[in-house]
Amino acid sequence: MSFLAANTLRKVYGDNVAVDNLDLSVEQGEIFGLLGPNGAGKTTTIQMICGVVTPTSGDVSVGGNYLSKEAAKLKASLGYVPQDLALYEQMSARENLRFFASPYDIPRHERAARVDWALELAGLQARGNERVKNFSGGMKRRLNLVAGLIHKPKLLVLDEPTVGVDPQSRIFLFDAIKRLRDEEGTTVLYTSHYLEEVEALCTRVAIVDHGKVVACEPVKALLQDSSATLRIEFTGDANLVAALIPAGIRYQLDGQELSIDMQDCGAVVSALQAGALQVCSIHSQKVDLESVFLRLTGRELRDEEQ
Amino acid sequence: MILASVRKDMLLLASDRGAVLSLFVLPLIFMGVFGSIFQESNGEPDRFTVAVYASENANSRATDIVAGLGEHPATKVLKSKSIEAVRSAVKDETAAVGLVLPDDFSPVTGKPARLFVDSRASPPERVALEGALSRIMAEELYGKGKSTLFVVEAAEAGESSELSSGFQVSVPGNAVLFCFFLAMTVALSFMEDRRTGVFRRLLSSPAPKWSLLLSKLLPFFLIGIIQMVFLFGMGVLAFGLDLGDNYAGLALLTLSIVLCAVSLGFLMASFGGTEKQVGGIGSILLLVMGLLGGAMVPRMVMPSLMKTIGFITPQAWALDGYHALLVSQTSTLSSVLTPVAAIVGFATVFAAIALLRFRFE
Repeated sequence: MSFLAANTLRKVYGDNVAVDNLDLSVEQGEIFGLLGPNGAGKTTTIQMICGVVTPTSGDVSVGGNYLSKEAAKLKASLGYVPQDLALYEQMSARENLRFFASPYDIPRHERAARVDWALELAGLQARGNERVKNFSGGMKRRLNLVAGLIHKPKLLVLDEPTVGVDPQSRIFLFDAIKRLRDEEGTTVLYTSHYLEEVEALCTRVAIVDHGKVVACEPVKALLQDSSATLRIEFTGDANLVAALIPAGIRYQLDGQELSIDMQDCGAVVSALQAGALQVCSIHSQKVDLESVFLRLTGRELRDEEQ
Repeated sequence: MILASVRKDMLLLASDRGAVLSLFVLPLIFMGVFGSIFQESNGEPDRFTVAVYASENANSRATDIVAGLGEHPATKVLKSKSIEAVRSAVKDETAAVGLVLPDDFSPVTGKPARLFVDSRASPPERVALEGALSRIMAEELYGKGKSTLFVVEAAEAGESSELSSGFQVSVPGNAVLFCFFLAMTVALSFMEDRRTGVFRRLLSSPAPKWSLLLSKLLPFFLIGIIQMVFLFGMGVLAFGLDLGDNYAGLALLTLSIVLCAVSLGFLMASFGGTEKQVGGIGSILLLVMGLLGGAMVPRMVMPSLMKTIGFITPQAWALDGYHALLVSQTSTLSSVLTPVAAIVGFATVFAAIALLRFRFE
């Protein structure tokens, strides 16, 4: 049985199906990436997994505890780091950690040491007694992360933890996550818009779109399965492209450039030429998760964000 | 979790200068200013002249009152031959207040005295005069410390009151006004936790929702108690407020008021909106409630319609309770049970609606 299992999770808000019978399984010690544009349902999914949002139907289990039956046990074993900086800026880092440790069953004599451990993990030992409002964005992000793992959870759920973070803090966060996995055996569920992060950090990834998992594979396998993407430069009226390209072919139009799968190259070039559009050049692109995402969903990851 | 929340909210309050100012400092300034105005309006507290009319057929109670006012160190009696003469004495300021005692003067059976106060006098001035006279009369009839509510009936300008010091009104009035401003602090705290994602973080913890709510509300209940103790304490130390001897009644009433203020804050938070909206609308709502409830202008000087309307606010009940305790100096717990029941009723309704509407997210 998987350490984390989401079984036919569904969440409906009025007429809007945010998550549509989604299944997910994550093994112990795995760093698992959840990718998808805003509105794809990934935040709702992780909020259901963490018990923040009640599923319309379906269930979640973490370490054998089911959300529907043993919510408190399940929640005690996970740490959730929300996308927002869920901190009290008027309080010191140490006071924040003490407060966010309070709902958990941490023995009294261990609490101070646990706070010190978290401050050390975040690289904030020297500034533990300083008010959070004086911290840089990166320092706040690091504190936000460790506030979610002060109780040493077995499952760490991170919702876009690197938004607005400087490169140095990003590396620091990555190192902290890997250290947790290696030293504590923590399982990590990681969502991000930054595909390079997911590629660098995660062993497996699920791509979510319209509330459904459209692909769930090890990152390497996902990249190998994908055909290369080509970028075609052309001259002529770009408005004609939509009418010219045969139905069923996925493409992305950006000015006078078209991005397509390599396998569709012949059909697309013929169609453009038939429509009097002149192909100037064809470049192959590196296969990455961005192109995989484009191939699977027909849109770029940041479409809705922009 | 609850203790940690109390500690956390105390820390946050201590670092929030605006909240400290509005909950602790501003009320003191208001108390001082309004109390001084009321105090000044008392005029010459040593001896004020009372124009009195009691016919020859007046009963012994009435004649006792006249004799008692004559002997009292705070009053001088100007005996008048008619009701009209009393009225004239008040009008030309020969007397500070006029008193007409009916032949069958009997406050207990609904035959109170009639008071005349110069209609040009300011409300605090009228209140002070009426109150002082009522109190002296009640002491004459029943002894010190007894209720005087029924001693006199509505006068031509103003009505019965037992006010003896401006601060007996300004301290509870402003304490109640600003205690209800705690509702804003509560609502804004909820909204901040919602906006910053703190609620989401806490919802993912094993703490049940009721515990999260309790640990969110309880600190403010304690802050409200500290606020009221501080304000009444400063009332005693700085303004000479007389707390009377009904400490149980005072505690019960104060606890119910703080409970109501916290419930109101919870209700405001349950309606959502932005912190800016709650700040704007909440301030107006609390000021209007305070105004109607008599926290700014004493209810005793309001027209009867306004007084009745005032009862739609918990502030009016709160101030009626403090009036009984601090002005009338009632010593029985039962004297505040009606206001306490009304205020707890408001608190219950506010909390019930809030519970139905409130969403952490």
